[in-house]
Amino acid sequence: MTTTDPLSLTFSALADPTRRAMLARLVLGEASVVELAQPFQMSARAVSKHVRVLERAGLVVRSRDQQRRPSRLQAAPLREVDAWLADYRQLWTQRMDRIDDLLTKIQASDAS
Amino acid sequence: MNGLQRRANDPPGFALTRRYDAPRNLVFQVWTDPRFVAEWWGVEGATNPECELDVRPDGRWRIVMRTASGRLYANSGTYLEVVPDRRLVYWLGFVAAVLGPMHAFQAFSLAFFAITSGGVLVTLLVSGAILGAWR
Repeated sequence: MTTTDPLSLTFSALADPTRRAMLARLVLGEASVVELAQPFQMSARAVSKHVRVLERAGLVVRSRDQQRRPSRLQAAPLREVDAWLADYRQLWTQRMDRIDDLLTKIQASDAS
Repeated sequence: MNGLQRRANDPPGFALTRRYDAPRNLVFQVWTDPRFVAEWWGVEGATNPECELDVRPDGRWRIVMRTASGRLYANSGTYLEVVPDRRLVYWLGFVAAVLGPMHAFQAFSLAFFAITSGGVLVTLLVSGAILGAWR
């Protein structure tokens, strides 16, 4: 892969289900390669390769700890997560209302 | 409703519930048929010119939303679990500018559809993470 555009790197890193599962695990806290490998039938070497892809995309960072070298999410500050989730919750509340309107409309047209 | 609440050490997220006065298969269809999803997805005042949903495990979905001001935003992801009329688990990824820099977001969403005496109860659990930011 020759691309260095951060968006493309992020999306190609996210396109793989194993890497998404690893990120989901890292949402819970940092983990070593051995810990990340546990849910998968995969060698530590294969896991390290996935971690490197995630690292290059700027999605995870690895600590300098020589023994475990745990990975953690390169997360934005918590206030940004909170700001997004508050907006996203509001968005879903509006969608739930629109679904209600749509169900009413569909059932009215079926009845007529 | 055991097991559907969020727990203290869950990743950041939220839970929403809503009751609908409609048959459960119709509620599920409104969540999974692109013709219907295109009518309610997006933000207030937006339209969804592209809506492709491959509703099966590992199936991809992609929705392009056009806001009232004409800007286009793409949302895409993968279905992880599909139990018709009962359960929908999917992953969502998108990129947006929040508080200045661009961020990549991912969210895991679980939607449950249960028949109750007051109608069909939809429970939506969302866990989210910001995966990176750049200028």
